[in-house]
Amino acid sequence: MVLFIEKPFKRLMRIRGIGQVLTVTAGLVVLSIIFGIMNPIFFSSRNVANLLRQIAPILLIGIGQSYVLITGNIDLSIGSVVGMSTMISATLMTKGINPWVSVLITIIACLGVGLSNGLLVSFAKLPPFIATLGTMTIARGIAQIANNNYNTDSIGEAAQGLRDFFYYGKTFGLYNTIWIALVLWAIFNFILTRTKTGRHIYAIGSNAEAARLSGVNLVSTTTKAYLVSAFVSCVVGLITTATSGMGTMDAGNSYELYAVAASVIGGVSTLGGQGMLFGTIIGASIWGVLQNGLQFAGAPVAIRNIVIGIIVVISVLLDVIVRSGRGARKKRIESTT
Amino acid sequence: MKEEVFRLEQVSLPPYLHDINIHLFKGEIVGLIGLNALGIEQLLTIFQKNISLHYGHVYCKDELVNDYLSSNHKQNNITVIERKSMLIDTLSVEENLFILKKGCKQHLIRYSLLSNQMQQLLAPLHLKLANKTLVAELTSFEKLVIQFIKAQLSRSSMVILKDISTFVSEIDLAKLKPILDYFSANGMTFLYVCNHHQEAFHFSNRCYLMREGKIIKHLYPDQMNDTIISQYSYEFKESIEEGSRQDQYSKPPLSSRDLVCSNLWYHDIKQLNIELHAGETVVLLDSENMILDQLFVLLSGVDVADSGSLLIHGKRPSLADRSIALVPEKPDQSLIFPQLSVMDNLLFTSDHKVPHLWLNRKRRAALGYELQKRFGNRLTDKVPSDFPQSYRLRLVYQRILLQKPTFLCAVQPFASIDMYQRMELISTYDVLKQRGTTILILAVSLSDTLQIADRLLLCKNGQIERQLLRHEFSQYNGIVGSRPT
Repeated sequence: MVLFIEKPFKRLMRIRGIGQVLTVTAGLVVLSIIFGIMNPIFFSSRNVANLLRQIAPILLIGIGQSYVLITGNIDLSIGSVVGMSTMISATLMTKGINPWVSVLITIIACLGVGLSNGLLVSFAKLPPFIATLGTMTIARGIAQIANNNYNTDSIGEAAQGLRDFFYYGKTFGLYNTIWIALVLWAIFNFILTRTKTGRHIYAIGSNAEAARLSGVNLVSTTTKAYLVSAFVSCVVGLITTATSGMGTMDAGNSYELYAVAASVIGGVSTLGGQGMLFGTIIGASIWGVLQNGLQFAGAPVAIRNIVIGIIVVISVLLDVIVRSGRGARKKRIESTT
Repeated sequence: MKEEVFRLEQVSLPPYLHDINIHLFKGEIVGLIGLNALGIEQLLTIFQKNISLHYGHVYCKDELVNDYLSSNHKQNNITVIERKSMLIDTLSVEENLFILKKGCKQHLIRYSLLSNQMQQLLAPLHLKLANKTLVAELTSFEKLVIQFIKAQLSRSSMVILKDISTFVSEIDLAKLKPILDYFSANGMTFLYVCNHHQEAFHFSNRCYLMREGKIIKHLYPDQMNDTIISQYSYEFKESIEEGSRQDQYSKPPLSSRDLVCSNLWYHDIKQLNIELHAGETVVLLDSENMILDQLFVLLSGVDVADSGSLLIHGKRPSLADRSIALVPEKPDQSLIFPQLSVMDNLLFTSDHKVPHLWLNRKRRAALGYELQKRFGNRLTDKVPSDFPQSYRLRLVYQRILLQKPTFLCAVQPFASIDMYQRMELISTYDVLKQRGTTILILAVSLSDTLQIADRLLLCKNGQIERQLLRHEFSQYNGIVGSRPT
């Protein structure tokens, strides 16, 4: 029996959105070479290790945003959940609660925000932009009142294990932060590509009504996507706590935009139904390389933001152009029947 | 003397159109029947816009507007009326008619004046609308008539009516004839595009029959009958009248009931009672187009009835139940996942049959091998929405065949599809019937639904008014559709 199996390269090229992923991968390589030529320190092992550690949080929030974007929605509360996670965990630890218990409580609180987002968008049918804008403000408010409108003190020596686990420690020569990001990426990539839930997430973003009529529970699937987003944001918050050793109220500011940038640059469509988490790795890497490389080149923060902003706009524009081109082709082909 | 509105001379646009000769005179209603869909869209585009042609000439009111030597790509003053209305739902009828039009120079809107004008236009049509009625509040038929008036006000050279029986009910279609006659008497020209000759014959003065991008016959009034048309649609006739397929219908129903709907009240549904026995195919004809959408909502389990009960397999409907399949209208668009591959689209509802379907690539490969025979090498292709309508329709129904539901509800399955697609769909429904699937078809016009039906339920005022068994189908005198012999 001849099985329906394609050659690996052909199969790779048929993957949805692979074109953009390969393009940005090439862009990443070119950028890295340029920055490497401009400043050889860029490729030093120390800088590469630090660069990867910088990329890890962006990759994590990128995963969350990708999940939500693929369902055709958006999560603007990511940055605030990062701040909330930082402040709740740090406050609890400074009050003497066991660091791991604090982590557990923090995760539950952040998942509460994800659950609210999911239900507001899918059950109450609020526009995702408005719903998550609301929860963004609420989560930031919670971050502020967690320690009575003050940043926390140092989380102290008792939390050293936690700090090592999330930030300072190394496993097989790589910082744990990178391992955490990679493991979570592998898990969520598996869910997205190899499970029914993953297929349902793509289906909702592709044609929500068809998905509903095919028995997909829109409420639970959309909520799952928001829960993933809240969970990874929470992890990033914990990494932030471990990094600074304290809780700061403005932690995670603008992270939702970085998450969108990582996803969109990596080929996740803002219109839903399309994208892959491998692209998010590349998107987050481009963000990190640009930040790092431009810093070496002596570019001020404003210039770095402008460059990243331009890249995001171009990525979305490409997506829109590709989709509208497809629409035109669809009309042409349809008219042949 | 006849005044020519449009003339197409030897128009060719390979591979879609070949040597098309059409002429339309002022005040005529001309039918265009597509035996298959090839070229219809292109032909309508040529009427609307002066696109580049391979060969031929297009004249509008005796003036050459387009030919193969030069095309200006300008729009002609043509109105196309189809399912998607060109009216703005959130604005009033007056605003749609008088404000949203080319050349409206008024900055200050005088509603009393506009309302008076509107009432004057409506009076001869015996249509009564309150002043400032929002378009969203109109019925499909009222929207249709308002679009005629809008076309008249904008001095359209011609109005193209495209597949209107898919959204206008049988009762309203019956009311449409005098209205079309009124507008044509006032000099409006209509091109009535449809797939059913019965429908075109009912409305038109003469007809063009099109197949494979060619006009194969020009039918004059004395030729507009079933005898002539049967020479061109014999494949369809042979296919559906085949003895063994006819025999599977009209068998005594099984005692078990798959759908029970008793004393159902919900919006316009008033005390609806339906029972479907296992393996039965029933057509519910809502000739007023009132309750179909509401019944579909209840069957999909999105909402519950105000009172009464609706049970499928003895339980409340739930879409998570893979033994139920719902097919909305135009499934080739509404049930396609454009961003998933053909294979993913096909297997989407088969995960209950194949354990770990999405995890196990080998199982999917084996299934792919089987499906390749029917779907060719496109299985892993992306964007199935780019494929021809016939391919997408086959894809959706193959998904249902793989899902193996025991109850299926479809809304107007034969709407807007050509003769060959209808033949294929009839054989798909035959397969479902042979598998013992209970089928409920919701329709506003019959089309070919009776060919696959055991029973016809006629609905009026939100309840079942009458029931006809297969041998009684000839008693129903509808405009659109074929009947089993």
